[in-house]
Amino acid sequence: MESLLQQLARFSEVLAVSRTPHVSTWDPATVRRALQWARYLRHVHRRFGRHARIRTALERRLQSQWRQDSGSGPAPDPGLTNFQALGRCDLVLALRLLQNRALREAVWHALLQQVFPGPGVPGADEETLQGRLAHLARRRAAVHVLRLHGYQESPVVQEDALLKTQAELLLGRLRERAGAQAEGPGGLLSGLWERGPQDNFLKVLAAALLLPPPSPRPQEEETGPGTPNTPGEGHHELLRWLLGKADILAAFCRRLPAGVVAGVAGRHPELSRVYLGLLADWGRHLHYDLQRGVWVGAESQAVPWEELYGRFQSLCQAPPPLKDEVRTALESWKAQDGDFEVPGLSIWTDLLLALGTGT
Amino acid sequence: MAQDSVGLSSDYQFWMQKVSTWDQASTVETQQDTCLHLPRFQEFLRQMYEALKEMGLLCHVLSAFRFDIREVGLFTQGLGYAPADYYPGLLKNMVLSLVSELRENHLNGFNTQRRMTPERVRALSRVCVPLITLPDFEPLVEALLTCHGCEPQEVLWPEFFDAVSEAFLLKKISLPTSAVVCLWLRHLPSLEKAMLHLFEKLISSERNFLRIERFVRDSSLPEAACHPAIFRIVDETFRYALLETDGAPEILATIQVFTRCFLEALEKENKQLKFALRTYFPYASPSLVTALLQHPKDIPQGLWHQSLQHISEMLREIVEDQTHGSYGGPSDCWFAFIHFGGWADVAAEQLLRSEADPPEAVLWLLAFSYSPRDGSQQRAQTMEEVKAVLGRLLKLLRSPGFSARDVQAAAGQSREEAPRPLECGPLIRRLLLNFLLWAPGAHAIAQEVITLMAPTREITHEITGFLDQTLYRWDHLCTAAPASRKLASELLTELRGQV
Repeated sequence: MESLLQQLARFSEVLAVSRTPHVSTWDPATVRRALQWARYLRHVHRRFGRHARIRTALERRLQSQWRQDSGSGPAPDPGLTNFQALGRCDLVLALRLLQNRALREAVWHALLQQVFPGPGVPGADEETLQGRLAHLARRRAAVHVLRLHGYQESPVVQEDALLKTQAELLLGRLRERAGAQAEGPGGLLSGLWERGPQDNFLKVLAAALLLPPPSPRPQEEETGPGTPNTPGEGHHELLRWLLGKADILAAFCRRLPAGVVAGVAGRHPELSRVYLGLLADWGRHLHYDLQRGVWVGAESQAVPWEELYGRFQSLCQAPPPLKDEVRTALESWKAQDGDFEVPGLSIWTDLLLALGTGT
Repeated sequence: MAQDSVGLSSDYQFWMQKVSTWDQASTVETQQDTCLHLPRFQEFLRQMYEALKEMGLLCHVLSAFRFDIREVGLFTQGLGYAPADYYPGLLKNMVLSLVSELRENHLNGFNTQRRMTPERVRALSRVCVPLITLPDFEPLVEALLTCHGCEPQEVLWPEFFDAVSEAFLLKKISLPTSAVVCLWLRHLPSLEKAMLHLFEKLISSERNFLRIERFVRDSSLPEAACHPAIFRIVDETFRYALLETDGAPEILATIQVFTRCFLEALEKENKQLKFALRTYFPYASPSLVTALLQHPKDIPQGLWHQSLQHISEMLREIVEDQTHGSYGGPSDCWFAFIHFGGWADVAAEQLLRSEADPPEAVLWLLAFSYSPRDGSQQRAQTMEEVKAVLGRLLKLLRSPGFSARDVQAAAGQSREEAPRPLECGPLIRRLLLNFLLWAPGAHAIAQEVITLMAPTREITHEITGFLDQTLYRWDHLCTAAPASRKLASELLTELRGQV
């Protein structure tokens, strides 16, 4: 067991090196050995897939290793991050080497021969490295071709394929971590936020929080990261983290479209409370410009009236109880301000007037 | 894995030498050598081509790996995933999203707000063409076929249908029946190709009912034929094939198997909208079709003669009716009749297994099934001949023992002449064969009689076909006596071994 763990650690190093210019020192024998090693680890994956104890031990070690590596530096090296990754390690290694310009020409030719030996036994193609690379290439091409001809982004974030996939992957990772009893997702999520792009991250968060609730499903051994996962407890982890980060939460509520935030607020009451608080705050920063007859903000980054109105409108269109809570809040703020019916004195009055009586 | 490239490269050496030898000399020997080696050389060139194509394509596509979707790449990298991890899921989600858009398009056909414009659907179908054999694309292909908006013209790209049809026939893609029906209804050439594909498979293999059944079931034609338009086209194709081949037994067999599979599929169909029989068989009267549809196994054996009588009378009425009534004439009702071959077989068997005088209706039926175009005089003559042979055969049954020569005599050949091969028409042959299978004393001489009967390959072929069909039918009806079945099986093996 210990030797296996050591081998894992050393192969991870090899995998990390395979992306760097250091491979210029490699010769064909090194490449061959590296690929053999990857094949061996793939065999380990197959062999111990159903062995809960060994699998968990390996999983823990890999995850902790990755956390150590990813803690420092700008971008973590996505090497062997979990047990599942062992099943694909030869694919990852081959791809990295194929794309590494630093390989010497003779070594590159040796690599090609190893990875693409040519037509073999038909039917066995699926399982060979060459077959799997070809399959991946086809799928990748398919994605790009679809994106160019026919696929359209969906305004519904949890249905948009790109966002949905990222959300599923995120929740999968969180669930994995929870399973391995690692510490909370804070580091992972904060890292993603810092690395950016932030807008995408926010959208993915929203999509993750809007994915349908989990259906009871028997635990499957071979759910890869690319397959749709059930959200599970990932929702809670995510929400807890978000609620603990005031600035990110503010960005979430501000930068995402009104409909999206309303949707998330509808699903997660804790968020709706915070959202309402933010909206109240933004509203109080506006004052009435008598000459122009509009509500304006003092600073440039103040939330304009139109946006405020739009957000409240989305909330009022949400299903109960959110819709009713929002109305109640608006009424109470209007009352606090003096319960005016005339426009121009309290923003809450004006908002309620604009929103109409609508149920 | 490395061995394959070694194999290819040693082949390469071999062929380079060969080609240079051929190039240098042009004697008769080298010409012969070239001819001998040509097929193998062709195979080698094909392998080289495949290898180069694959490597070239892969290198090309791999170099495009740089063009990832930036945000997705960054995000997944932050999560510790490589492209190999997320591309499959991404593709799956993209396909899912497109499929649900297409379904929405289908359901809200008249909603002008929909996002799936006809141009987009067309573009999507075009994009599918090179990727049709990717399993992830199956739901998309299915949705494109089954979901259509309200445009009167065909929206899908023409090559899309060709690609789906080919992939489906070569079993590179699997589609549910509903999608196949849509494919064939929207694009007639696909249905034609499917039928040609079936015929090709039938021609290239020996006539064997089990094999025919397997091919027919494989083709998805029976299930699709529950849709009357498809059934009509398939049926007419069979009819033409029958006409062109002058009633080839292989086509007859295929029609029978197809009809049986079709009826099974029809029964399983749970659709609310069930089509009347006359939609499938517009050329035959509904009462005739209903009578023919009854499977012998659903009727007690004792009542078979009644059904035969009934069917015979109906057919006779149509055939002898000069005015042709509202349905087709003799050829149409014969065509309808041969769909349900079981009854002709039952007729032949019944004649031999009852001691009583052969009923005229059954004789007529048998004569009609073998020669539908005979005039009434010719048919009467045939019926007399059959009656005479039957009489002689039944007499043999009652006698203590009989030889092959006796059987030969019963078939109508004079005894005094020197032994020569038995000459008789297929109908008489069928009766003799039935006799051999059922008569208790006939087992010993069966082989000898058959040898006398079968001097030519065609006749041997006919007899093996009959035996195969009989075994197939018995296994489905479970009516065979074990001894008869064993004999039929042995004879069949013997005859097949001879060919």
